[in-house]
Amino acid sequence: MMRQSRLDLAMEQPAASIAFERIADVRARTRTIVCGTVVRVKTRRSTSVPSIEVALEDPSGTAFAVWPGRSTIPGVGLGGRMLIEGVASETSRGFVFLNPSYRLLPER
Amino acid sequence: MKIMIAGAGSVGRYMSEQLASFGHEVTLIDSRADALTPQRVPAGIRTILGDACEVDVLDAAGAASADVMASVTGDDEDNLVISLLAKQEFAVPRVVGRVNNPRNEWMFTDMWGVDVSVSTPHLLTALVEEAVTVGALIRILSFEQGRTQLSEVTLAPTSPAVGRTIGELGLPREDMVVAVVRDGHVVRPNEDLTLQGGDEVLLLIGVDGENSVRSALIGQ
Repeated sequence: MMRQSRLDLAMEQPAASIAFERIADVRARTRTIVCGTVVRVKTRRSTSVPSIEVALEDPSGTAFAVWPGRSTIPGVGLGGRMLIEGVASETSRGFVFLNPSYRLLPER
Repeated sequence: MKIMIAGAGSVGRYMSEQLASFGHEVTLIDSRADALTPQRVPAGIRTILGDACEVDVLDAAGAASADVMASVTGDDEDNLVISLLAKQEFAVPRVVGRVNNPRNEWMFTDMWGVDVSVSTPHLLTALVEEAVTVGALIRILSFEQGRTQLSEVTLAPTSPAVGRTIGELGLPREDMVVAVVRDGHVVRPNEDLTLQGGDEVLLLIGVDGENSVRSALIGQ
């Protein structure tokens, strides 16, 4: 059976009640959930395939999420809040989540 | 280092044997039992029977603590899926993907989890070209997701570089002559080395650096 991400399992739970950790406390290669505000959205186009990259900020720092194969994610825009769940890689610019699960949060 | 290899065909088995002999901890994954018999896989290499495209199999194989994932099956779709899962689910620091059909090479990028793609047909072609072609820029190998290229030019007699020193070429900083091979000898590329027709010039070329190299060494 496929491992299920906790977010997938928590679809019935109200998003506001999902536990998450601070971006500064994220450890590379450990499955985690972080919550932040979208401060940058960048669409990359390498050959003919797009990807969307989001910079997510919380009071402790910034992390990045990349979704390949798409140029927009409905509901994700500057200033929006979201939860993302995945396994972060440590890169020179910080933690990058590749293709994480996500849930949008209502604006505060 | 902990190295995981998906695909126990001739390439995967050779790689596992070599890497294990260098002292690395190697795990070899394949979905075919007959590929993982003791006759085919040397002792000391951990084998996992399973489909490496499944997250559970990668997990059981130790992907969460692996330093390298090399996906070298004979199927490009599988190699892409395995690479993506290795990066997405386990954040394996270095993911290497084998490209069997050069037409698929464009997909094997960091966007899909691949840090290094290796296309054997492409490499062979480049090496053949490098051996027989004079007066053209041959790309041999890419580093850093294609941002740095190891390339070769064999100087034609008509090359604008013949009779000039490496310093006089005026190459930009991103491009570097790393070696000159002359009459079968490797010559150190000092700034005051004068280039001759027939010299094989090996360069590391950065992004957008090819045009400068072409105009300096080929005259295009």
